[in-house]
Amino acid sequence: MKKKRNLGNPVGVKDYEGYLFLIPLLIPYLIFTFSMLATSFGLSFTNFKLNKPLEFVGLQNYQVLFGDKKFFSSLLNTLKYVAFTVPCMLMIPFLLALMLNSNNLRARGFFRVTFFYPQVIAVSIITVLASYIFQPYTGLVNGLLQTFRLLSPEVEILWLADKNLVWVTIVIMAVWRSAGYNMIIYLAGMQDIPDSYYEAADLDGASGLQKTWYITLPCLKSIHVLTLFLQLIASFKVFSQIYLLTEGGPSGATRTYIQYLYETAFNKWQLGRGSAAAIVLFLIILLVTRVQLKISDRFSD
Amino acid sequence: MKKFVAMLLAALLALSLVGANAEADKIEIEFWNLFGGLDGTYMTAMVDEFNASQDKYFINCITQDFGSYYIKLKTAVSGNEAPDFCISHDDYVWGLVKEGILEPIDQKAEELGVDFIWDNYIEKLDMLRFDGTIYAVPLDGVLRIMHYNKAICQAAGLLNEDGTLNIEPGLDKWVEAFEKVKAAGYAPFVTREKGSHPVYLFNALYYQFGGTQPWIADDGSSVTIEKEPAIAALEAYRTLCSYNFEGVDSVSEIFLEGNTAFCYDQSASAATYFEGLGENYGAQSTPQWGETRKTAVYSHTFVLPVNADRTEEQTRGALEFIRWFGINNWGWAACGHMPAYKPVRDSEEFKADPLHALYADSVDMPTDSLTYGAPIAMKGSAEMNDPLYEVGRGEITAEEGYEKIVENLEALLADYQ
Repeated sequence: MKKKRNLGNPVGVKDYEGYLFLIPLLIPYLIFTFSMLATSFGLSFTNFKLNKPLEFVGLQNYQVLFGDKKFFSSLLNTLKYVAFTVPCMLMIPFLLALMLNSNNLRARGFFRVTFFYPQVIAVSIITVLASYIFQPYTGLVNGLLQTFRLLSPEVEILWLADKNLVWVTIVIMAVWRSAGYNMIIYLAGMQDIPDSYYEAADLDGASGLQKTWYITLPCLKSIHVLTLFLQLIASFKVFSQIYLLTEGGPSGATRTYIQYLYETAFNKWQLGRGSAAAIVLFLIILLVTRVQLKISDRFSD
Repeated sequence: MKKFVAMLLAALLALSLVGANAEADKIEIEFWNLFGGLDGTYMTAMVDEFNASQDKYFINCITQDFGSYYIKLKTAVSGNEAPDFCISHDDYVWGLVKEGILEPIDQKAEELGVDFIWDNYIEKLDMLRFDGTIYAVPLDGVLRIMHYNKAICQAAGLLNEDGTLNIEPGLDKWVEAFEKVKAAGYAPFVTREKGSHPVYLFNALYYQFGGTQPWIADDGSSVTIEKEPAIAALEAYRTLCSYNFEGVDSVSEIFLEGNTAFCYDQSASAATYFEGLGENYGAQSTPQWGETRKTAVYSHTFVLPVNADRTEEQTRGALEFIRWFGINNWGWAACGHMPAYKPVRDSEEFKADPLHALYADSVDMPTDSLTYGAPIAMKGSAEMNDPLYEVGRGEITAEEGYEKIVENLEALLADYQ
């Protein structure tokens, strides 16, 4: 009798053995992620405070949250951040990667390191640098604008003190810090596109723009989905870089959802309510991710 | 040669072991503080001096991150990992007491025979009594004062011959002074818009314009900030901020550039400003903008966190250090804070200090700075800072600012019902 070939399992590994390989990852993941999530979910129905007995309060924490103006304003601020940064964090890294992938570029290694470098610097250092750069009166940006006569010496742009301009500053800082990471993902994707596609396009007389539009962009579909997915989650969870730069100011205009959560849980010590806020954020991210996956499935079809 | 080096190394090793043994023989006491910069240097020096001054106790001084200090303290107490004693800002003390984080200091001192002379401490000590019991011992009086540039004030005609200001009390007189500075071609005023600074200024103004009640009732049941003085204070706050450099963090840099006449900033910056401006540096306590002369005086304090593992000897050692720190308070206050131990104010060292003399009267006009009924510290809180910022920038009126403060404080109290 002829032995049946198993093309999907060429080395004869049994199904359960795959799970064995996952155990080293799964155990810490279960302990440090899933159990924490489950604990938070449980705590969100209590009035948990340190040094105080735990009491079940039902949905009270959620009711208080939904009645709190700061909850909605911080959620709105986070949505603003997501709306401003996610498109920038897809487009700018894509363009940078496109530039780095060009055969005409000299000193490619230098640019690659330069664009990625802010990613390896601690967020606190990036923030301190940004606060110096965007300070009025003594900062670099206003100084340069005044030197090149683009701004009157009597006028100061309040990059961090104006409720609208502060978002521009935050987005610039976020892109400066994080664009390099997405750029590397795009660059890796671009280097996987077979050269033959571009050679065929050259034979057909396609321009650079047409090659980008008809070859590069469609071939990177899975990279777009991955980057969008990662960036959305990262943007929803933004905290430290904005908190360190503005402390949520001016006047709460940049208080993000995670800052609200942090202040509720650790400044006011309403740990039960803080847990409820964390669960709400989890549900929001879950919902957004589901919608995103649905849309990306439709596109791939 | 090799033999000599070997003997030298052996001798050094033996000496270091002797040193280590000397430290090991002492009772180690863990002390947490949150001081950085100049304060940190002075605190380390004080601890080193105490450790060298006696053979029984070794204070292990651990500096914690400022931003997460109280989180660490509370979680440490809850996990029975608390230090033997530590620092707390005065406006955090009542909240810590209510949460069961702190132990009474005076009772422990009496129990262990550590002899404090409580009358020697500034009035802040009485503000730190809860139900008659002392939970915190002040290290200092932390102040905001008006630093000024004498050369600019001279050019604007605002300086007396002795280097003091010839500005009469009253907000309108200060506005006139600012206008004179502007007319002389200089910037009038700079202060900080973030952190604890807005509440320092508003607190002084509130009590200067007739405030008598704390912002929240002592039992935490209601918001008691008085409307009329609060609105007057907010209007004054707006007036002062209208002359400020908007949106700056680098207040020190701006003042030290030498183009700004006045800088309302912490007294601990006096030495830095004096070093930068030299003979052009002048300072006075918070001006009288309202009906009376008042200034907010906050304090760093020593507290004893709940710690079941702390031995009686460790508690005694911690208390001995706190007592010693009071008696030797000049070693700390020299960095610019007001001494918390009254006899130090009568000492020759204090009187001979040229900078402290400029604002020494601050301690005689303290406001009722602590808000016992508030579940969190008011200084640096979003509840106070957000409306103050908007009033300061003229985005809302003083009346609207008052309404927002009341609304925020009521929401805060509701959180803790």
